[in-house]
Amino acid sequence: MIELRNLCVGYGKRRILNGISAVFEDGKLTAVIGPNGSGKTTLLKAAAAILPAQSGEVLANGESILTMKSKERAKRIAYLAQGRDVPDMTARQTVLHGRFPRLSYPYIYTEKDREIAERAMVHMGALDFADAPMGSLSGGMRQNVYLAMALAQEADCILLDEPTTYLDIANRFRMMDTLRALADGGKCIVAVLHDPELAMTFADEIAVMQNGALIAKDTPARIFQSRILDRVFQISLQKIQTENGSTHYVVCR
Amino acid sequence: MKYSQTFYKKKIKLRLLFVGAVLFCAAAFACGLLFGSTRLDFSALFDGVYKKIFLYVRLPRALACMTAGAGLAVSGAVIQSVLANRLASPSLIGVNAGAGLAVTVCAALGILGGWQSSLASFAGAFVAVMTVALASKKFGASRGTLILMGVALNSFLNAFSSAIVTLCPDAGVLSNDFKVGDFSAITYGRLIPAAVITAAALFLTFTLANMLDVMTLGAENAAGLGVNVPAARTLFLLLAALLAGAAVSIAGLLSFVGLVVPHAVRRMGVGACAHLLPLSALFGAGFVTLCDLVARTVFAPYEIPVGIIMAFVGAPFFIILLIKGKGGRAHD
Repeated sequence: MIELRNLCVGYGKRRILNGISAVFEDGKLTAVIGPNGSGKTTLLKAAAAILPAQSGEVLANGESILTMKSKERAKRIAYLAQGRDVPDMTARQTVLHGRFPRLSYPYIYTEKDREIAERAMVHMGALDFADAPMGSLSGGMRQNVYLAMALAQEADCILLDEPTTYLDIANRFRMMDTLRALADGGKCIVAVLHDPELAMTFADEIAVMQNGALIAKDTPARIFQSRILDRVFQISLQKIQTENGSTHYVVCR
Repeated sequence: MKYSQTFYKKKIKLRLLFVGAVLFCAAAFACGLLFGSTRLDFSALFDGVYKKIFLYVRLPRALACMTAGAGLAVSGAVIQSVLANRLASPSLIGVNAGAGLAVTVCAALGILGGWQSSLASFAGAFVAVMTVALASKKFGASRGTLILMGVALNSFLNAFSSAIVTLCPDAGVLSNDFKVGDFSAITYGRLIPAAVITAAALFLTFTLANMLDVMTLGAENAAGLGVNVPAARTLFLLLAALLAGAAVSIAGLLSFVGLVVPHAVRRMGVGACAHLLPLSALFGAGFVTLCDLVARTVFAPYEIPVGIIMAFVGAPFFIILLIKGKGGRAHD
């Protein structure tokens, strides 16, 4: 569980986040959505303590992480940036680096680390291309490898910045199914998403950001009822019920 | 744990590559000892004159080639990984300009060759790189900004060198040998400090290979994995500066090794730094030793600076690598 208490973050004198308080619970998939420049990525980085807070507190399972050593923090929270760096190594080597926070000098992976990395690859269906170079994999495969790396980190919380960007529609759904399954397995999953439809359909909770403030955080059903996304994005969000009874949301102008 | 057939194939390929690299390096070292304007064979090593040639000319020179080659290649591989830029090399972040200015100042002051010149070139390279590294850390600069700071510092330092040469033309002539790069003036006095620094920096760099790999995942992902990115970047640039600085102190400016050798190793399918760094060291050492052998023997008894040979051999080789090499991304 991650708790933000009156968190203020900025770059120099420019304030980006203004006193955010929120709780991201274990076993839940929370989608952070909001217009461009609303502070979603900053919120995620601050929650992972990658970006220093100007004031406020971030707690992981009740422990303050802002004063923690970076490796201790990485054992509690895994963070996957949106970054497009493609490392010059195989998928297996990439996943193994999820164990890095557990190492101390001279940073040599043990057989146990390799076994945990392999289990993470099996979990993410990445074992078939484990020994392929990352550069040869498709965007969807690469995202699975990065998620396997986060699983190998064995952190209770996984924060992901736009994990569905650059993926085609089928892979987006697959990625959301995976995040859903991880949350159902007990992890605290927080993902910044650009697509309100995906967020509303798959997430347990929606956190809505606007102008550096968290203006709403609730279940998709209540967020829909409040019509807050209509106002924030200048859209008309519609709810549809499919024949098999599942609920989906679509965006209309 | 079950590994795929590809895993075992890659493992065998990697082992063969290491064996090949060790043999290449050993063969280059042996050739460097035995061949030259005077040909030696092993039985002659116990003879008076030949023994002296072996001990005081060939051996320090071959060891200097190995030291400089390994240092520059690993320095290049580290800088390319830290800056996520394949065009990066020690010269990009100020090594050549810093060392060049230091030697030009020495030449203007009448200090020619010897340990003072070596020390000055090491200090010049080291101070230039650390200026870029520490400034980027202080201002929280990105990798791109760090590279641009290196380019700006290069221009600034080269302008200083040019100004000194304009005011004191003799300094330009005297520092020219250094700028082309060669091993003809090597002595144990200059070699030993550089070799000790190189050995220590190589050891430390090799043990940090996994951290360097994590850095190549991108600054934010590395931070998410518990790496203090600004501190780690500064540490790796410090190690790269030590390696390149030690190399220029004994060889002058051999700028091509740091660029071409890591590229060649990557083209062999090696990506992870734990393999890339030692293989770069072995191939870099062998490459420089062979280039020096060519420089000593093609026009024997005259020598041409090894920097010239390296550019003649290295540049076409590099272009062939870029054109013919496979790799890159299949998807994006």
